[in-house]
Amino acid sequence: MKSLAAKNLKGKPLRTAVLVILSALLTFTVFGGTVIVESLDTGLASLENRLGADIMVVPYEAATQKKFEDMVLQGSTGYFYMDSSKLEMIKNTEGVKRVSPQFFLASTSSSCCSVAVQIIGFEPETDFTVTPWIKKSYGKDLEKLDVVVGNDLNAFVGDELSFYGVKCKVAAKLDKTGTGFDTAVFTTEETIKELIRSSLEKKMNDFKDIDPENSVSCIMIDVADGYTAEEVLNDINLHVKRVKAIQSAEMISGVSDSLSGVSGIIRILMTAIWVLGIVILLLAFTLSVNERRKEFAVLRVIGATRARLGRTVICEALIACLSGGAAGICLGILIILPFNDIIEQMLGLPFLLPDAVSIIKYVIIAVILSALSAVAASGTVAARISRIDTGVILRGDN
Amino acid sequence: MKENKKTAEIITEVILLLLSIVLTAGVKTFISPCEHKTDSGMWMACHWAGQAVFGAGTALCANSLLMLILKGRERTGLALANITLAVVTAFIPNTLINLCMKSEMRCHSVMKPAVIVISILIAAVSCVYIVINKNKE
Amino acid sequence: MLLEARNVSKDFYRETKNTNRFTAVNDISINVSAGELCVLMGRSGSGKTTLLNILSGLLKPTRGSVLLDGKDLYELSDRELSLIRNRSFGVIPQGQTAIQSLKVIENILLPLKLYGKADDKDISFARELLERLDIAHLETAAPAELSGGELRRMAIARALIGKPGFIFADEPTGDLDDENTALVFSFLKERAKAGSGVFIVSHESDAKEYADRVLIMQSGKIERA
Repeated sequence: MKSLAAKNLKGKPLRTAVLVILSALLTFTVFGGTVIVESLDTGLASLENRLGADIMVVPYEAATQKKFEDMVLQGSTGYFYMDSSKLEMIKNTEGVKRVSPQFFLASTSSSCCSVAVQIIGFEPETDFTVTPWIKKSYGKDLEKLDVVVGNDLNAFVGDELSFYGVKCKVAAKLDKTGTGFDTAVFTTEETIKELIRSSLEKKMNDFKDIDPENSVSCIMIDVADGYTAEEVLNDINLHVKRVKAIQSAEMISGVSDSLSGVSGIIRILMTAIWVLGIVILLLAFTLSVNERRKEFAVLRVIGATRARLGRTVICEALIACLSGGAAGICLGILIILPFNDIIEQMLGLPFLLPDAVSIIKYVIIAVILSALSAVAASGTVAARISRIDTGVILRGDN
Repeated sequence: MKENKKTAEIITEVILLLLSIVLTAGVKTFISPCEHKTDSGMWMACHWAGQAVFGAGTALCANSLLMLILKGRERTGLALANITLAVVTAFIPNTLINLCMKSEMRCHSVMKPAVIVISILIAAVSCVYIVINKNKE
Repeated sequence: MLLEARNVSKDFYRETKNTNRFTAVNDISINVSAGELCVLMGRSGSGKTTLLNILSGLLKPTRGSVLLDGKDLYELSDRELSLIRNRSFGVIPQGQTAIQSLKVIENILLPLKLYGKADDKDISFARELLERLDIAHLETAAPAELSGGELRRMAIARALIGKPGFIFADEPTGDLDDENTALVFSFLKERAKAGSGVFIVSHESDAKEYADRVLIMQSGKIERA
């Protein structure tokens, strides 16, 4: 009976178009919505993963002006320094298991065709935050003047990047994280000090009264067992002057709050569109079948079983909804996937597309859902039409 | 029956022309690459990718316009040319011509995906057109 | 083959309450045998169509049974009864009964396609029927392009495509002119001669000329046989 269903659909192009567009919209909504919600979740997980330290200490002004947060979340460039003596003080604070300093530098956009990027220097001997993920992409230690680039930078392994006239080699490219670190360049302390020196020599940078050799930008802290991050944080904020200790968990929970807000709105919208869509589908099927009550009675007269009538109705629904579903998925893939960067910027939250396998999973889920709603909406109508009293319908025609 | 095929043809031809115009005009307006010149007064890298897309887009517009005006079999040839040209256009941003440094910049987040999507659509609609045109025979 | 109705009655309930019962067919027993053309006449509302629907396996009687070669139709499963309707019965219902999305020839072949495929022999038989019913030129037309009389003849061809043992026709000449009425009656008569049992509901007095047996129905009862 597949051909009869197909011909019925072809016979009423307008009605079919409405059904197809409606199910395209439904599938697009569930696919697009799921991908966005999942991307936010993946982004948050990746942020948690990449912060890597329990507590981060930055100069007081950097924290109050949200410089540091913007750097991590938005990928904006910035630099700030504090005296490296703070490192010793913090190291000796009770409850601190290990510390590692980082150095920030922003390259200028003076040379042609390049823009300011955030350069983050770490101390290879003590580092426990950056190294693990560099290890993942690049098995070896970084040589002098080697850099590792974030995934959103348009540079590839083997490329030469010039910062303040110093040519650096791209040794590795990191996986995408959905955070501000995607546009950063990572290198060792040794290299970044070299870059700072060069920038001062070329008068391309002005540190005023700061001595680059004795400065750090940020201190990453791991808290020892038996101490809470909160205790250590309070201790540092109380005893070390002009710095601000930030708890990673707090930064993440701030992000996670606004994220669950966005996710919640998307989920509500998704549900609303689905409920509405299924009601409209149900209505459309009811109308289209009622209009053809007589035709279904005729099918019974010429020997179609009840089951066959039901199958014809469900088959019509499935053809319409699955082709609409396919269109919806194509639309989703053409909009959400290529434009994910602009979506990320609009949301202003960590946003990391799920991997291909997960996306295929969502495609399958969306198609199954669209097929299920087609069966659910047409099934009730099919059940009703299969119970029709043929004799009564035909008699009622006099 | 024949009348219907004709409308289907005209509709696809108009869609092709519209897509080509959106691509060509768009790359100069709402899907333009990063605008600002750098301090040295030179254009950013992505500007040249935008120019190349504009050039290819103009050719696509011309092809599509010809398809709409002409009536004979040569329109299939134009559609075939559209497919290759559209595929090449999709590869212009960042594969054939480098874009800017960070993928959060406009040329990466707006121009590249838009050019790729529109190019794919042009290629796909051209394929559909060839099928429709062939069925008519 | 023998089709026999034993003491069949059909009650309808007006409105939804069971109080206002109306008996359309009242305790009727008749036989229709192969090779016989039987015409059922009577005023409208006398229960003719209801009786035809009961006989053709479309309407379960409230009381009584309908036996086809001894098998009670309404004791069969839906699938078995549907198969009998498809293979052994050809019904020409009242009114317009085309499937709008199918062409004329597809409508006619539909009963065969329900349980299999229509082969070349079936298609040429369908063309023969169209020819005989004088609508051969409409083979590939859509039902919407046909007149009432043409649709009626298409429904007749559809009922006959499976060469059924029993043919049920409810006012088959309702919207036909005299010439086509004669054409249809003589055609049905021919089928009866070929061995089918033909049961026609009609108030066309012409029908009597073709009938082997004329039944008159009044108020749910067969008055005269």
